[in-house]
Amino acid sequence: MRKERPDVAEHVLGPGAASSAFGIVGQVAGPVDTASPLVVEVRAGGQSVRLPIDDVRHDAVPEETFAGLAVAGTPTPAALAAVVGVARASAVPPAPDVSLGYRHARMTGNSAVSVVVPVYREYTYLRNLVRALADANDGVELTVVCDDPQLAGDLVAWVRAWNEPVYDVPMQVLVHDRNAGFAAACNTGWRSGRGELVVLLNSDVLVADPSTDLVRLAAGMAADVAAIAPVLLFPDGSLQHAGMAMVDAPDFPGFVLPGHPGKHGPADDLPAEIFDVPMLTGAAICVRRTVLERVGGVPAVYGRGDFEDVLLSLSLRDIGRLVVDPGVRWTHVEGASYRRDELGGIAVTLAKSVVVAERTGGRR
Amino acid sequence: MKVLLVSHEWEAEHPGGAQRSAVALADGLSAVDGVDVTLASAVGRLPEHAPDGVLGSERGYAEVLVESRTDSAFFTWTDPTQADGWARLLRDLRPDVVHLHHYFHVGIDLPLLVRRVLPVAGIVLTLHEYMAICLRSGQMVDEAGNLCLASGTSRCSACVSWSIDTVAARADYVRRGLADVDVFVTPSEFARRRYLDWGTGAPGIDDVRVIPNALVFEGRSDPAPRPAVAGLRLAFIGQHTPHKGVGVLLSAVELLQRTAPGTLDRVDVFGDGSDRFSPEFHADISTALRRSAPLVRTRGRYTQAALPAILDDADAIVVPSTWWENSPVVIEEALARRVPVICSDIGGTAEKVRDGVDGWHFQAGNAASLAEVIANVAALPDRTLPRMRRPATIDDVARAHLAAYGDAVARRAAAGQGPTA
Repeated sequence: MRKERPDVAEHVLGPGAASSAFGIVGQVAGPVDTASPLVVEVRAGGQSVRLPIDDVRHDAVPEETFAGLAVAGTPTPAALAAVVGVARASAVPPAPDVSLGYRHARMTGNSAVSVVVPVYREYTYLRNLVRALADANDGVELTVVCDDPQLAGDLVAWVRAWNEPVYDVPMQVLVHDRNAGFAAACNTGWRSGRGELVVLLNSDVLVADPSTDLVRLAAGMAADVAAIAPVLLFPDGSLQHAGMAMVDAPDFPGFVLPGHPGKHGPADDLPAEIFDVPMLTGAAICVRRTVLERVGGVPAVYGRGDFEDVLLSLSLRDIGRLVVDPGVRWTHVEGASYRRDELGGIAVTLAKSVVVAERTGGRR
Repeated sequence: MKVLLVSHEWEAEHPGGAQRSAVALADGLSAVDGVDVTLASAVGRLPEHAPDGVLGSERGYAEVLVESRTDSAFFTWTDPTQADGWARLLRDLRPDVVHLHHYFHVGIDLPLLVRRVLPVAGIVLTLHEYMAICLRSGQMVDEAGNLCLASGTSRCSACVSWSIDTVAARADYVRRGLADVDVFVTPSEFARRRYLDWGTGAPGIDDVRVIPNALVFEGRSDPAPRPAVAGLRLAFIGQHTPHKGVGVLLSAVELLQRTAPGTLDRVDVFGDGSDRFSPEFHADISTALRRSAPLVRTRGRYTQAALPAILDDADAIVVPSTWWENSPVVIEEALARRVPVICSDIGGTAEKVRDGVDGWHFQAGNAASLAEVIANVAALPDRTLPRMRRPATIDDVARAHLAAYGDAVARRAAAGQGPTA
């Protein structure tokens, strides 16, 4: 039985579980279809159950509907490797069918800059982005990829109603017939165009001044640069992201996690000029189309977290430098779309860190 | 020069200060040779007698109505098809300058639409108050009634209990809409400074000019003759909303009745006393009005034509606003009629009424302070204020606006989106 909006569950056990319990908990609906290409294997108390990833939901469902599967005790990389089970080997869900939901008459696909925005679960702040791009120079086109079948109808209707009368932005909306994840949505988007520069952007990033910022980022793309990113700020003006780096998890020995140096600190402490970083976030990143083609696009690690960004960054680093332009500062209002259950989030994050470590050979 | 003036509401339906000043400016501009004015007013629904929105031209210039309504947070149209009405008007008229009075109901996206339809047209926007800056209906007053000059995502989020994300997204959207404007106009230095402070960092919000509101009003050269009466005759002229301070005035009157009877001859309260703003407040004020009768007379709505006589019949008007205000039109109207103003000592009112020169200040929101000032004024042997400011004439205001229009067109040209010669 396939759900329309699958996602990785991020909950710990309810009352009664040991305080040190961590795990991936799934909502099991009907018989488990072990033929699914993406399965999470969960072991607890000597039992082992396999869950098709399509039946593992993240939505806010009552606690008692969860199957209550977990790993007890202090997590270790080895234990979580077992928890993740076959998921690490089959992390890419089937490719979705893509249909065209909307296309503006001036959307050519041949623009110099392709802004690609994956949409999942909500598009509250897409209006800000479309309005911002109404001020952009010619040669900037927007591709919105709806990776949420439940959202597609409303999203397409909104764009149809507003874009031509008011904003007039060269844009298109592509619709996935199933939720295929962030990486797949990005790849659908950038592969639909031919612009030399691709800007992968979350829909809840408030672009400050597209007419100058995009020109500036393009100008910062020196020959030896593989990707460039703006500084991302929290709405209160503090620093959210100016490059990522893999760091040892202070509370979980043996695990390596993506970290955001300076997060929540003052943004004024950044270097004045473009600076190199080990990794970049996929929330806002500019990459040459040729580079994306060479690395095969955004690699998928199913579920949320920064790991797709890590894998993409590592791929890009094989080709050139990763840099941040501190002169371009955008605001990321991710609160509405980022509803992490704190402990469950840690469990999934740790599990995926194992996956990524295996796939990257431990590179940082 | 062809000018399209846009009023956020139809003055015939809602005769507020901003609407009246838009009409007055249209009158003034139409009297200038070489200026072709059309006044367009935003309405919720076109009236039956003007289904196409075209009104008669009794004032000597064209008047049209356009269906246009916005929400009060992002100021986006409630229906995107409303953009079509504006686009048709722009294509038909092809003005050199589009002058918007307000963004509320007019639409924060209208400047963008003007850019799209008429890339060469200059855009001027008159900032009548602070809705863009403050989520509490632009009052810049917190829930407890405290005056506020700060604005920022964290503070505003806490004040109105919105998420910080929504507050940030709103500010982003509104600032971006305003950035398409070439020249801003506002009638007070206080409002100019607030917008410049708020817009810091946003491209385009830099040229904000202070130009007084235009008045369609017959002024006087001398103070109105005052019949000899024992007490002071006061008038309140404005909407009966909490922030207009009518409650402060009524409290002050009750205090004077107890402590200094005979100070007042009468207090006439004019304006919209309906309960469309706040039923609870309306009930409180109605009770207070009844309690203070017959000293306080509830006079209801008034016509613009009746205003000179209303002002001539008062020794002073009271503007007891508990918020900052910008430039209340009634102050200009009173001064034009040579009637002094007793007003709150904050923001736009304090700026427009110099204490002891154009009238007298009292501590905003403080009924005892107002009562004391009223008693002091009543005791003055001579209430003449010889150095009282004379409001700008309609001709002065029209010419100041024409200068702004010229600069807006030049700014377009400099941006490469307008005529270069």
